Amino acid sequence: MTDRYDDFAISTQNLTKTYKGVEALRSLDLKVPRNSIFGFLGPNGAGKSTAIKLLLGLIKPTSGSGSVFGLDIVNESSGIRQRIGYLPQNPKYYNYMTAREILRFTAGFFYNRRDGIIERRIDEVLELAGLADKADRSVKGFSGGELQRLGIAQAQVNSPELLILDEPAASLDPMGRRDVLDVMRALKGKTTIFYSTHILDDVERVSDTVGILNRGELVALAPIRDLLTASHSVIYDIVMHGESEALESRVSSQPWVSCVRVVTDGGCTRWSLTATDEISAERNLLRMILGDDNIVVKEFTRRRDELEDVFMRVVEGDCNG
Amino acid sequence: MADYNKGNRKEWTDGMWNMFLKENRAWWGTGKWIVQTVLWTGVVTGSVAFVLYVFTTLPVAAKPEIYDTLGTGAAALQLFFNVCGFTYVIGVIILTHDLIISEKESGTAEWVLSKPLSRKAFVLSKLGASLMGITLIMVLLQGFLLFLITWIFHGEIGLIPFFKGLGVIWLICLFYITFVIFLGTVVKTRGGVLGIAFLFFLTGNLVPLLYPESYFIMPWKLSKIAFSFSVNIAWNAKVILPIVMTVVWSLLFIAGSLWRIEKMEI
Repeated sequence: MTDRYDDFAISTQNLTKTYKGVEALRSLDLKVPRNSIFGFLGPNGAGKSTAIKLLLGLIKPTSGSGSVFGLDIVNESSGIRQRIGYLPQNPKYYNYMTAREILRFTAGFFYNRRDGIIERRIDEVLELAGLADKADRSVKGFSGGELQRLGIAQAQVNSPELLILDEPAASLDPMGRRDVLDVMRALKGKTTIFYSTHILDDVERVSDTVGILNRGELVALAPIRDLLTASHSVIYDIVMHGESEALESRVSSQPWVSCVRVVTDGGCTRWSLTATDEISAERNLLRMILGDDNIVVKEFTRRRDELEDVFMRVVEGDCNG
Repeated sequence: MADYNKGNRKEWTDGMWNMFLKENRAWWGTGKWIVQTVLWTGVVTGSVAFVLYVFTTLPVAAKPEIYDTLGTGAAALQLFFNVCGFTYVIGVIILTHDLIISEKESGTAEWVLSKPLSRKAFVLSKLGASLMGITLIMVLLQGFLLFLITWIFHGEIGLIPFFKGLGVIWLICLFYITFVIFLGTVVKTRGGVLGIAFLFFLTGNLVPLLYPESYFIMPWKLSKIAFSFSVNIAWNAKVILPIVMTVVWSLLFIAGSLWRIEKMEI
Protein backbone atom coordinates (compact mmCIF):
# COMPACT_ATOMS: atom_id res chain seq x y z
CA MET A 1 0.00 0.00 0.00
CA THR A 2 1.24 3.47 -0.83
CA ASP A 3 1.96 5.78 2.02
CA ARG A 4 2.63 9.28 0.83
CA TYR A 5 4.05 10.44 4.09
CA ASP A 6 3.34 13.87 5.39
CA ASP A 7 2.99 15.20 8.91
CA PHE A 8 -0.76 15.08 8.85
CA ALA A 9 -3.01 12.10 9.34
CA ILE A 10 -5.91 14.09 7.88
CA SER A 11 -5.68 16.99 5.50
CA THR A 12 -8.53 18.70 3.66
CA GLN A 13 -8.63 21.60 1.24
CA ASN A 14 -11.83 23.55 0.60
CA LEU A 15 -13.84 20.43 1.33
CA THR A 16 -17.48 21.26 0.69
CA LYS A 17 -20.67 19.23 0.82
CA THR A 18 -23.99 20.56 -0.37
CA TYR A 19 -27.36 18.86 0.04
CA LYS A 20 -30.07 20.23 -2.26
CA GLY A 21 -28.50 23.69 -2.28
CA VAL A 22 -27.78 23.77 1.46
CA GLU A 23 -24.10 23.79 2.42
CA ALA A 24 -23.65 21.23 5.19
CA LEU A 25 -19.89 21.77 5.08
CA ARG A 26 -18.23 24.87 3.67
CA SER A 27 -14.62 24.98 2.43
CA LEU A 28 -13.18 22.93 5.26
CA ASP A 29 -9.41 23.30 5.58
CA LEU A 30 -8.34 20.86 8.21
CA LYS A 31 -4.93 19.57 9.27
CA VAL A 32 -4.80 16.86 11.89
CA PRO A 33 -1.24 16.07 13.03
CA ARG A 34 -0.21 12.43 13.27
CA ASN A 35 -0.50 10.84 16.71
CA SER A 36 -2.52 13.76 18.06
CA ILE A 37 -5.86 13.63 19.82
CA PHE A 38 -8.00 16.00 17.83
CA GLY A 39 -11.28 17.22 19.32
CA PHE A 40 -13.78 18.19 16.64
CA LEU A 41 -16.32 20.47 18.28
CA GLY A 42 -19.49 22.10 17.17
CA PRO A 43 -23.16 22.42 18.02
CA ASN A 44 -25.66 19.92 16.63
CA GLY A 45 -25.98 20.26 12.87
CA ALA A 46 -22.64 22.04 12.55
CA GLY A 47 -21.43 19.52 9.97
CA LYS A 48 -19.19 17.29 12.12
CA SER A 49 -20.75 13.99 11.03
CA THR A 50 -20.78 15.18 7.41
CA ALA A 51 -17.04 15.83 7.61
CA ILE A 52 -16.43 12.41 9.13
CA LYS A 53 -18.52 10.66 6.47
CA LEU A 54 -16.56 12.47 3.77
CA LEU A 55 -13.29 11.24 5.26
CA LEU A 56 -14.64 7.67 5.29
CA GLY A 57 -15.90 7.83 1.71
CA LEU A 58 -19.51 7.23 2.80
CA ILE A 59 -20.50 10.40 0.96
CA LYS A 60 -18.74 12.27 -1.81
CA PRO A 61 -17.66 15.91 -1.67
CA THR A 62 -19.44 18.48 -3.79
CA SER A 63 -16.10 20.25 -4.22
CA GLY A 64 -12.66 20.41 -2.67
CA SER A 65 -10.42 17.54 -1.73
CA GLY A 66 -9.06 15.64 1.20
CA SER A 67 -6.60 12.97 2.13
CA VAL A 68 -5.97 10.55 4.97
CA PHE A 69 -2.35 9.42 5.32
CA GLY A 70 -1.82 10.98 1.90
CA LEU A 71 -4.53 8.82 0.30
CA ASP A 72 -7.29 10.58 -1.58
CA ILE A 73 -10.67 10.33 0.17
CA VAL A 74 -12.57 9.82 -3.09
CA ASN A 75 -10.34 7.56 -5.16
CA GLU A 76 -8.45 5.64 -2.48
CA SER A 77 -11.16 5.19 0.07
CA SER A 78 -10.69 1.44 0.49
CA GLY A 79 -7.00 1.93 1.27
CA ILE A 80 -7.93 4.54 3.87
CA ARG A 81 -10.51 2.29 5.50
CA GLN A 82 -7.85 -0.42 5.85
CA ARG A 83 -5.99 1.81 8.25
CA ILE A 84 -8.69 3.39 10.36
CA GLY A 85 -11.19 2.39 13.00
CA TYR A 86 -14.55 4.15 13.09
CA LEU A 87 -17.19 4.43 15.76
CA PRO A 88 -20.47 5.82 14.37
CA GLN A 89 -22.56 8.23 16.42
CA ASN A 90 -25.32 5.68 17.08
CA PRO A 91 -23.63 2.34 16.45
CA LYS A 92 -25.95 -0.39 15.18
CA TYR A 93 -25.04 -4.05 14.70
CA TYR A 94 -26.65 -7.25 13.47
CA ASN A 95 -28.93 -8.27 16.32
CA TYR A 96 -28.59 -12.01 15.80
CA MET A 97 -24.84 -11.86 16.55
CA THR A 98 -23.02 -11.92 19.86
CA ALA A 99 -20.40 -9.32 20.74
CA ARG A 100 -17.65 -11.81 19.90
CA GLU A 101 -19.24 -12.59 16.53
CA ILE A 102 -19.51 -8.88 15.73
CA LEU A 103 -15.81 -8.47 16.47
CA ARG A 104 -14.93 -11.61 14.48
CA PHE A 105 -16.92 -10.28 11.53
CA THR A 106 -15.23 -6.87 11.80
CA ALA A 107 -11.76 -8.42 12.10
CA GLY A 108 -12.50 -10.55 9.03
CA PHE A 109 -12.22 -7.39 6.91
CA PHE A 110 -8.64 -6.83 8.06
CA TYR A 111 -7.01 -10.14 8.84
CA ASN A 112 -6.68 -13.45 7.11
CA ARG A 113 -9.01 -15.85 8.95
CA ARG A 114 -6.40 -18.61 8.93
CA ASP A 115 -3.69 -16.58 10.63
CA GLY A 116 -5.04 -16.97 14.16
CA ILE A 117 -4.60 -13.26 14.86
CA ILE A 118 -8.33 -12.64 14.95
CA GLU A 119 -9.16 -14.51 18.16
CA ARG A 120 -6.20 -12.93 19.94
CA ARG A 121 -7.23 -9.42 18.90
CA ILE A 122 -10.84 -10.09 19.87
CA ASP A 123 -9.82 -11.06 23.40
CA GLU A 124 -7.60 -7.98 23.67
CA VAL A 125 -10.25 -5.50 22.59
CA LEU A 126 -12.98 -7.18 24.66
CA GLU A 127 -10.77 -6.73 27.70
CA LEU A 128 -9.97 -3.15 26.74
CA ALA A 129 -13.65 -2.25 26.34
CA GLY A 130 -14.66 -4.06 29.53
CA LEU A 131 -16.89 -6.51 27.67
CA ALA A 132 -15.05 -9.77 28.34
CA ASP A 133 -17.86 -11.12 30.52
CA LYS A 134 -20.53 -10.22 27.94
CA ALA A 135 -18.65 -11.48 24.90
CA ASP A 136 -20.99 -14.36 24.14
CA ARG A 137 -24.25 -12.51 24.76
CA SER A 138 -26.43 -11.47 21.83
CA VAL A 139 -26.08 -7.73 21.19
CA LYS A 140 -29.89 -7.55 20.98
CA GLY A 141 -30.03 -7.19 24.77
CA PHE A 142 -27.16 -4.71 25.08
CA SER A 143 -27.76 -1.34 26.75
CA GLY A 144 -26.75 1.90 25.02
CA GLY A 145 -23.54 2.01 27.05
CA GLU A 146 -22.64 -1.59 26.21
CA LEU A 147 -23.25 -0.94 22.52
CA GLN A 148 -20.97 2.08 22.74
CA ARG A 149 -18.26 -0.03 24.38
CA LEU A 150 -18.67 -2.64 21.67
CA GLY A 151 -18.35 0.20 19.17
CA ILE A 152 -15.07 1.23 20.68
CA ALA A 153 -13.88 -2.39 20.69
CA GLN A 154 -14.74 -2.98 17.01
CA ALA A 155 -13.11 0.31 16.03
CA GLN A 156 -9.84 -0.91 17.52
CA VAL A 157 -9.87 -4.50 16.36
CA ASN A 158 -7.45 -3.74 13.51
CA SER A 159 -5.08 -1.67 15.70
CA PRO A 160 -5.80 1.33 13.48
CA GLU A 161 -3.40 4.15 12.79
CA LEU A 162 -6.33 6.55 12.95
CA LEU A 163 -9.34 6.22 15.18
CA ILE A 164 -12.39 8.26 14.16
CA LEU A 165 -14.98 8.49 16.91
CA ASP A 166 -18.28 10.28 16.37
CA GLU A 167 -19.58 11.38 19.78
CA PRO A 168 -17.94 8.45 21.62
CA ALA A 169 -19.18 9.39 25.09
CA ALA A 170 -22.63 10.70 24.19
CA SER A 171 -24.65 7.75 25.51
CA LEU A 172 -22.37 6.70 28.34
CA ASP A 173 -22.79 7.15 32.09
CA PRO A 174 -20.02 9.01 33.97
CA MET A 175 -18.05 5.80 34.55
CA GLY A 176 -18.34 4.81 30.91
CA ARG A 177 -17.19 8.29 29.92
CA ARG A 178 -14.20 7.99 32.19
CA ASP A 179 -13.33 4.61 30.64
CA VAL A 180 -13.52 6.03 27.13
CA LEU A 181 -11.22 8.87 28.10
CA ASP A 182 -8.84 6.36 29.68
CA VAL A 183 -8.74 4.36 26.46
CA MET A 184 -8.02 7.54 24.52
CA ARG A 185 -5.25 8.52 26.93
CA ALA A 186 -3.75 5.03 26.67
CA LEU A 187 -3.54 5.40 22.89
CA LYS A 188 -2.01 8.88 23.05
CA GLY A 189 1.16 9.08 21.03
CA LYS A 190 0.56 5.71 19.34
CA THR A 191 -2.57 6.38 17.31
CA THR A 192 -4.15 9.48 15.88
CA ILE A 193 -7.59 10.02 17.40
CA PHE A 194 -10.08 12.27 15.64
CA TYR A 195 -13.27 12.58 17.60
CA SER A 196 -16.32 14.75 17.51
CA THR A 197 -18.06 15.73 20.69
CA HIS A 198 -20.03 18.40 22.42
CA ILE A 199 -18.76 17.44 25.90
CA LEU A 200 -16.22 20.19 26.33
CA ASP A 201 -14.86 18.90 29.65
CA ASP A 202 -13.68 15.73 27.90
CA VAL A 203 -11.98 17.70 25.16
CA GLU A 204 -10.10 19.81 27.65
CA ARG A 205 -8.93 16.68 29.47
CA VAL A 206 -7.53 14.65 26.59
CA SER A 207 -7.18 16.66 23.38
CA ASP A 208 -4.03 18.24 21.99
CA THR A 209 -5.69 20.12 19.18
CA VAL A 210 -9.18 21.43 18.68
CA GLY A 211 -11.23 22.40 15.66
CA ILE A 212 -14.53 24.18 16.13
CA LEU A 213 -17.14 23.90 13.42
CA ASN A 214 -20.16 26.14 13.21
CA ARG A 215 -22.82 26.08 10.51
CA GLY A 216 -20.57 24.06 8.25
CA GLU A 217 -17.59 26.38 8.66
CA LEU A 218 -14.39 25.85 10.59
CA VAL A 219 -14.24 28.85 12.93
CA ALA A 220 -11.25 27.85 15.07
CA LEU A 221 -8.36 25.44 14.68
CA ALA A 222 -5.48 25.45 17.14
CA PRO A 223 -3.68 23.49 19.82
CA ILE A 224 -5.90 23.65 22.87
CA ARG A 225 -3.27 25.46 24.95
CA ASP A 226 -2.96 28.22 22.34
CA LEU A 227 -6.70 28.56 22.16
CA LEU A 228 -7.00 29.05 25.90
CA THR A 229 -4.08 31.44 26.30
CA ALA A 230 -4.73 33.49 23.17
CA SER A 231 -7.61 35.48 24.59
CA HIS A 232 -6.01 36.64 27.89
CA SER A 233 -9.56 37.01 29.11
CA VAL A 234 -10.73 36.59 32.67
CA ILE A 235 -14.18 35.30 33.49
CA TYR A 236 -16.20 36.39 36.53
CA ASP A 237 -19.13 34.22 37.53
CA ILE A 238 -21.60 36.15 39.66
CA VAL A 239 -24.84 34.89 41.16
CA MET A 240 -27.26 37.50 42.50
CA HIS A 241 -30.83 38.21 43.58
CA GLY A 242 -32.87 41.26 42.64
CA GLU A 243 -33.42 43.61 39.71
CA SER A 244 -30.21 43.45 37.72
CA GLU A 245 -31.16 44.78 34.26
CA ALA A 246 -29.98 48.34 34.87
CA LEU A 247 -26.77 47.12 36.46
CA GLU A 248 -26.15 44.78 33.55
CA SER A 249 -26.43 47.56 31.00
CA ARG A 250 -24.10 49.77 33.08
CA VAL A 251 -21.50 47.02 33.43
CA SER A 252 -21.75 45.91 29.80
CA SER A 253 -20.95 49.41 28.62
CA GLN A 254 -17.57 49.42 30.38
CA PRO A 255 -14.65 49.30 27.94
CA TRP A 256 -13.00 46.40 29.80
CA VAL A 257 -16.07 44.15 29.49
CA SER A 258 -16.34 42.16 26.28
CA CYS A 259 -19.32 39.99 27.12
CA VAL A 260 -21.95 39.39 29.79
CA ARG A 261 -23.96 36.20 29.44
CA VAL A 262 -27.04 36.16 31.63
CA VAL A 263 -28.97 33.11 32.79
CA THR A 264 -31.98 33.45 35.08
CA ASP A 265 -32.81 30.43 37.17
CA GLY A 266 -35.22 30.11 40.10
CA GLY A 267 -35.16 33.75 41.12
CA CYS A 268 -31.39 33.97 40.80
CA THR A 269 -29.53 35.69 38.02
CA ARG A 270 -26.23 34.22 36.95
CA TRP A 271 -23.75 36.35 35.05
CA SER A 272 -20.76 35.06 33.22
CA LEU A 273 -18.75 38.18 32.52
CA THR A 274 -15.72 38.21 30.26
CA ALA A 275 -13.22 40.98 31.01
CA THR A 276 -10.47 41.93 28.58
CA ASP A 277 -8.59 44.14 31.05
CA GLU A 278 -7.98 42.26 34.26
CA ILE A 279 -6.70 45.22 36.29
CA SER A 280 -9.67 47.45 35.47
CA ALA A 281 -12.04 44.60 36.22
CA GLU A 282 -10.41 43.90 39.60
CA ARG A 283 -10.60 47.56 40.50
CA ASN A 284 -14.16 48.34 39.39
CA LEU A 285 -16.38 45.31 38.92
CA LEU A 286 -17.20 44.28 42.46
CA ARG A 287 -17.51 47.93 43.52
CA MET A 288 -20.09 48.58 40.78
CA ILE A 289 -22.11 45.53 41.72
CA LEU A 290 -22.10 46.15 45.46
CA GLY A 291 -22.97 49.80 44.84
CA ASP A 292 -26.36 48.77 43.45
CA ASP A 293 -28.88 48.59 46.29
CA ASN A 294 -31.38 46.56 44.23
CA ILE A 295 -29.33 43.40 44.24
CA VAL A 296 -27.84 40.95 46.70
CA VAL A 297 -24.70 39.08 45.64
CA LYS A 298 -24.74 35.36 46.51
CA GLU A 299 -21.55 34.23 44.74
CA PHE A 300 -18.59 35.89 43.09
CA THR A 301 -15.81 33.83 41.53
CA ARG A 302 -12.99 34.57 39.17
CA ARG A 303 -11.43 32.16 36.73
CA ARG A 304 -9.39 31.95 33.55
CA ASP A 305 -10.95 31.34 30.15
CA GLU A 306 -12.11 27.76 29.73
CA LEU A 307 -12.79 25.89 26.54
CA GLU A 308 -16.51 26.34 27.03
CA ASP A 309 -16.08 30.11 27.09
CA VAL A 310 -13.95 30.03 23.97
CA PHE A 311 -16.47 27.69 22.31
CA MET A 312 -19.44 29.91 23.17
CA ARG A 313 -17.62 32.99 21.95
CA VAL A 314 -16.58 31.41 18.68
CA VAL A 315 -19.92 29.79 17.99
CA GLU A 316 -22.19 32.61 19.11
CA GLY A 317 -19.80 35.43 18.27
CA ASP A 318 -18.75 38.21 20.66
CA CYS A 319 -21.75 39.14 22.75
CA ASN A 320 -22.85 42.33 24.31
CA GLY A 321 -25.04 41.05 26.99
CA MET B 1 0.91 -0.96 14.02
CA ALA B 2 -1.39 -3.64 12.72
CA ASP B 3 0.07 -6.76 11.16
CA TYR B 4 -2.77 -7.18 8.71
CA ASN B 5 -2.41 -7.55 5.00
CA LYS B 6 -1.69 -4.23 3.37
CA GLY B 7 -0.78 -5.52 -0.04
CA ASN B 8 -2.30 -4.22 -3.23
CA ARG B 9 -5.77 -5.62 -3.73
CA LYS B 10 -8.48 -5.48 -6.33
CA GLU B 11 -10.72 -2.90 -4.80
CA TRP B 12 -14.09 -4.18 -6.01
CA THR B 13 -13.63 -7.54 -4.32
CA ASP B 14 -12.48 -6.03 -1.00
CA GLY B 15 -14.32 -7.64 1.90
CA MET B 16 -16.55 -9.75 -0.36
CA TRP B 17 -15.74 -13.15 1.15
CA ASN B 18 -16.15 -11.89 4.73
CA MET B 19 -19.47 -10.24 3.88
CA PHE B 20 -20.63 -13.33 2.00
CA LEU B 21 -19.88 -15.50 5.06
CA LYS B 22 -21.87 -13.10 7.22
CA GLU B 23 -24.82 -13.15 4.81
CA ASN B 24 -24.72 -16.94 4.79
CA ARG B 25 -24.64 -16.92 8.57
CA ALA B 26 -27.93 -14.98 8.45
CA TRP B 27 -29.41 -17.84 6.40
CA TRP B 28 -27.83 -20.94 7.89
CA GLY B 29 -26.66 -19.83 11.34
CA THR B 30 -30.08 -18.68 12.49
CA GLY B 31 -33.49 -20.34 12.38
CA LYS B 32 -34.18 -18.79 8.99
CA TRP B 33 -33.36 -21.92 7.00
CA ILE B 34 -35.65 -24.05 9.17
CA VAL B 35 -38.54 -21.61 8.76
CA GLN B 36 -38.04 -21.39 5.01
CA THR B 37 -37.69 -25.15 4.62
CA VAL B 38 -40.88 -25.85 6.56
CA LEU B 39 -42.76 -23.06 4.82
CA TRP B 40 -41.89 -24.04 1.24
CA THR B 41 -42.20 -27.75 1.86
CA GLY B 42 -45.69 -27.10 3.17
CA VAL B 43 -46.69 -24.64 0.45
CA VAL B 44 -45.21 -26.40 -2.59
CA THR B 45 -44.60 -30.08 -1.88
CA GLY B 46 -47.42 -30.27 0.63
CA SER B 47 -50.01 -28.83 -1.73
CA VAL B 48 -48.86 -31.03 -4.65
CA ALA B 49 -48.96 -34.14 -2.41
CA PHE B 50 -52.42 -33.20 -1.15
CA VAL B 51 -53.81 -32.75 -4.67
CA LEU B 52 -52.21 -36.01 -5.86
CA TYR B 53 -53.78 -37.76 -2.92
CA VAL B 54 -57.19 -36.29 -3.74
CA PHE B 55 -56.79 -37.43 -7.38
CA THR B 56 -56.27 -41.01 -6.20
CA THR B 57 -59.60 -40.91 -4.38
CA LEU B 58 -61.55 -39.55 -7.36
CA PRO B 59 -63.45 -41.80 -9.78
CA VAL B 60 -61.74 -42.02 -13.20
CA ALA B 61 -64.37 -39.84 -14.90
CA ALA B 62 -63.80 -37.02 -12.42
CA LYS B 63 -60.02 -36.90 -12.80
CA PRO B 64 -58.47 -33.98 -14.75
CA GLU B 65 -57.60 -34.63 -18.38
CA ILE B 66 -53.84 -34.33 -17.86
CA TYR B 67 -53.99 -37.06 -15.23
CA ASP B 68 -55.58 -39.33 -17.75
CA THR B 69 -53.53 -38.51 -20.84
CA LEU B 70 -50.03 -37.83 -19.48
CA GLY B 71 -50.20 -39.65 -16.14
CA THR B 72 -49.49 -38.88 -12.50
CA GLY B 73 -46.00 -37.53 -13.15
CA ALA B 74 -47.16 -34.83 -15.57
CA ALA B 75 -50.04 -33.87 -13.29
CA ALA B 76 -47.58 -33.47 -10.43
CA LEU B 77 -45.24 -31.42 -12.59
CA GLN B 78 -47.98 -29.10 -13.78
CA LEU B 79 -49.15 -28.52 -10.24
CA PHE B 80 -45.59 -28.03 -9.02
CA PHE B 81 -44.61 -25.47 -11.64
CA ASN B 82 -47.88 -23.56 -11.33
CA VAL B 83 -47.54 -23.31 -7.56
CA CYS B 84 -43.84 -22.39 -7.80
CA GLY B 85 -44.43 -19.76 -10.49
CA PHE B 86 -46.89 -17.94 -8.28
CA THR B 87 -45.68 -18.45 -4.71
CA TYR B 88 -41.93 -18.17 -5.34
CA VAL B 89 -42.30 -14.69 -6.77
CA ILE B 90 -44.13 -13.58 -3.63
CA GLY B 91 -41.61 -15.38 -1.43
CA VAL B 92 -38.56 -13.97 -3.18
CA ILE B 93 -39.93 -10.42 -3.06
CA ILE B 94 -40.65 -10.68 0.67
CA LEU B 95 -37.34 -12.36 1.46
CA THR B 96 -35.17 -9.88 -0.40
CA HIS B 97 -37.03 -6.57 -0.34
CA ASP B 98 -35.13 -5.17 2.65
CA LEU B 99 -31.66 -6.56 1.96
CA ILE B 100 -30.31 -3.09 1.16
CA ILE B 101 -32.93 -0.84 2.74
CA SER B 102 -32.80 -2.42 6.21
CA GLU B 103 -29.04 -1.83 6.31
CA LYS B 104 -29.52 1.79 5.29
CA GLU B 105 -32.35 2.37 7.75
CA SER B 106 -30.77 0.64 10.73
CA GLY B 107 -27.37 2.25 10.27
CA THR B 108 -25.48 -1.02 9.81
CA ALA B 109 -24.61 0.04 6.25
CA GLU B 110 -22.73 3.05 7.63
CA TRP B 111 -20.82 0.74 9.94
CA VAL B 112 -19.87 -2.05 7.50
CA LEU B 113 -19.07 0.34 4.67
CA SER B 114 -16.64 2.17 6.95
CA LYS B 115 -14.58 -1.06 6.82
CA PRO B 116 -12.51 -2.12 3.82
CA LEU B 117 -15.59 -3.49 2.06
CA SER B 118 -16.29 -2.32 -1.46
CA ARG B 119 -19.85 -1.34 -2.24
CA LYS B 120 -19.95 -3.76 -5.16
CA ALA B 121 -18.91 -6.56 -2.80
CA PHE B 122 -21.64 -5.44 -0.38
CA VAL B 123 -24.31 -5.96 -3.05
CA LEU B 124 -22.83 -9.06 -4.66
CA SER B 125 -22.43 -10.89 -1.34
CA LYS B 126 -26.10 -10.26 -0.55
CA LEU B 127 -27.12 -11.39 -4.01
CA GLY B 128 -24.92 -14.50 -3.79
CA ALA B 129 -26.09 -15.59 -0.34
CA SER B 130 -29.78 -15.02 -1.13
CA LEU B 131 -29.48 -16.83 -4.42
CA MET B 132 -27.77 -19.73 -2.68
CA GLY B 133 -30.39 -19.99 0.08
CA ILE B 134 -33.29 -19.74 -2.35
CA THR B 135 -31.71 -22.19 -4.81
CA LEU B 136 -31.06 -24.82 -2.16
CA ILE B 137 -34.32 -24.56 -0.21
CA MET B 138 -36.86 -23.44 -2.78
CA VAL B 139 -35.54 -24.94 -6.00
CA LEU B 140 -33.40 -28.01 -5.32
CA LEU B 141 -34.96 -29.31 -2.10
CA GLN B 142 -38.52 -28.86 -3.35
CA GLY B 143 -37.53 -30.45 -6.67
CA PHE B 144 -36.14 -33.44 -4.84
CA LEU B 145 -39.25 -33.72 -2.65
CA LEU B 146 -41.49 -33.54 -5.70
CA PHE B 147 -39.51 -36.37 -7.23
CA LEU B 148 -40.04 -38.35 -4.05
CA ILE B 149 -43.79 -37.83 -3.72
CA THR B 150 -44.35 -38.51 -7.41
CA TRP B 151 -42.59 -41.84 -6.93
CA ILE B 152 -44.76 -42.51 -3.85
CA PHE B 153 -47.88 -41.90 -5.97
CA HIS B 154 -46.48 -44.21 -8.71
CA GLY B 155 -45.83 -41.42 -11.19
CA GLU B 156 -42.84 -41.02 -13.51
CA ILE B 157 -40.69 -37.96 -14.13
CA GLY B 158 -37.85 -37.70 -16.64
CA LEU B 159 -34.83 -36.49 -14.69
CA ILE B 160 -33.18 -34.31 -17.38
CA PRO B 161 -36.39 -32.59 -18.56
CA PHE B 162 -37.34 -31.99 -14.94
CA PHE B 163 -34.00 -30.30 -14.26
CA LYS B 164 -34.57 -28.08 -17.30
CA GLY B 165 -37.89 -27.07 -15.80
CA LEU B 166 -36.26 -26.43 -12.43
CA GLY B 167 -33.67 -24.29 -14.21
CA VAL B 168 -36.44 -22.08 -15.55
CA ILE B 169 -37.94 -21.76 -12.07
CA TRP B 170 -34.48 -20.79 -10.84
CA LEU B 171 -34.44 -18.08 -13.53
CA ILE B 172 -37.71 -16.67 -12.20
CA CYS B 173 -36.10 -16.46 -8.74
CA LEU B 174 -32.95 -14.87 -10.17
CA PHE B 175 -34.99 -12.27 -12.03
CA TYR B 176 -36.96 -11.21 -8.96
CA ILE B 177 -33.94 -11.26 -6.60
CA THR B 178 -31.95 -8.99 -8.91
CA PHE B 179 -35.00 -6.82 -9.61
CA VAL B 180 -35.77 -6.32 -5.92
CA ILE B 181 -32.11 -5.67 -5.00
CA PHE B 182 -31.97 -3.09 -7.78
CA LEU B 183 -35.12 -1.46 -6.43
CA GLY B 184 -33.47 -1.39 -2.99
CA THR B 185 -30.69 0.77 -4.40
CA VAL B 186 -33.12 3.13 -6.12
CA VAL B 187 -36.15 3.43 -3.83
CA LYS B 188 -35.80 4.77 -0.30
CA THR B 189 -38.55 2.86 1.52
CA ARG B 190 -39.48 -0.79 2.03
CA GLY B 191 -43.06 0.02 1.00
CA GLY B 192 -41.78 1.46 -2.25
CA VAL B 193 -39.76 -1.66 -3.06
CA LEU B 194 -42.62 -4.02 -2.17
CA GLY B 195 -45.18 -1.90 -4.01
CA ILE B 196 -43.23 -1.68 -7.26
CA ALA B 197 -42.21 -5.37 -7.21
CA PHE B 198 -45.74 -6.63 -6.56
CA LEU B 199 -47.21 -4.19 -9.07
CA PHE B 200 -44.84 -5.57 -11.70
CA PHE B 201 -45.80 -9.14 -10.79
CA LEU B 202 -49.52 -8.43 -10.91
CA THR B 203 -49.12 -6.49 -14.16
CA GLY B 204 -47.94 -9.78 -15.63
CA ASN B 205 -51.54 -10.94 -15.61
CA LEU B 206 -52.92 -7.81 -17.29
CA VAL B 207 -50.42 -6.34 -19.73
CA PRO B 208 -50.17 -9.49 -21.89
CA LEU B 209 -53.92 -9.24 -22.48
CA LEU B 210 -53.32 -5.90 -24.19
CA TYR B 211 -49.84 -6.60 -25.57
CA PRO B 212 -49.33 -10.35 -26.11
CA GLU B 213 -45.77 -9.64 -27.35
CA SER B 214 -44.81 -8.69 -23.81
CA TYR B 215 -44.65 -12.41 -22.98
CA PHE B 216 -41.52 -12.62 -25.10
CA ILE B 217 -39.55 -9.98 -23.22
CA MET B 218 -40.78 -10.54 -19.65
CA PRO B 219 -40.67 -13.53 -17.30
CA TRP B 220 -44.45 -13.67 -16.87
CA LYS B 221 -44.97 -17.00 -18.62
CA LEU B 222 -41.87 -18.80 -17.44
CA SER B 223 -43.69 -21.21 -15.13
CA LYS B 224 -45.63 -22.54 -18.14
CA ILE B 225 -42.37 -22.81 -20.07
CA ALA B 226 -40.87 -24.71 -17.13
CA PHE B 227 -43.69 -27.23 -17.33
CA SER B 228 -43.22 -27.54 -21.12
CA PHE B 229 -39.55 -28.33 -20.61
CA SER B 230 -40.28 -30.86 -17.91
CA VAL B 231 -42.57 -32.86 -20.18
CA ASN B 232 -40.15 -32.61 -23.08
CA ILE B 233 -41.97 -30.17 -25.33
CA ALA B 234 -39.64 -29.10 -28.14
CA TRP B 235 -37.59 -25.89 -27.97
CA ASN B 236 -38.70 -23.02 -30.19
CA ALA B 237 -38.33 -19.29 -30.38
CA LYS B 238 -41.46 -18.71 -28.31
CA VAL B 239 -39.85 -20.61 -25.46
CA ILE B 240 -36.26 -19.43 -25.84
CA LEU B 241 -36.84 -15.69 -26.15
CA PRO B 242 -38.43 -15.13 -22.70
CA ILE B 243 -35.62 -17.19 -21.16
CA VAL B 244 -32.90 -15.17 -22.89
CA MET B 245 -34.66 -11.91 -22.02
CA THR B 246 -34.98 -12.92 -18.37
CA VAL B 247 -31.23 -13.55 -18.24
CA VAL B 248 -30.60 -10.20 -19.93
CA TRP B 249 -32.91 -8.36 -17.52
CA SER B 250 -31.24 -10.03 -14.54
CA LEU B 251 -27.79 -8.98 -15.74
CA LEU B 252 -29.04 -5.45 -16.33
CA PHE B 253 -30.48 -5.30 -12.81
CA ILE B 254 -27.18 -6.50 -11.35
CA ALA B 255 -25.27 -3.90 -13.36
CA GLY B 256 -27.80 -1.24 -12.33
CA SER B 257 -27.50 -2.18 -8.66
CA LEU B 258 -23.71 -1.99 -8.78
CA TRP B 259 -23.87 1.39 -10.47
CA ARG B 260 -26.47 2.77 -8.06
CA ILE B 261 -24.74 1.56 -4.90
CA GLU B 262 -21.60 3.47 -5.86
CA LYS B 263 -23.66 6.66 -6.10
CA MET B 264 -25.51 6.08 -2.85
CA GLU B 265 -24.87 8.46 0.03
CA ILE B 266 -24.83 6.52 3.30
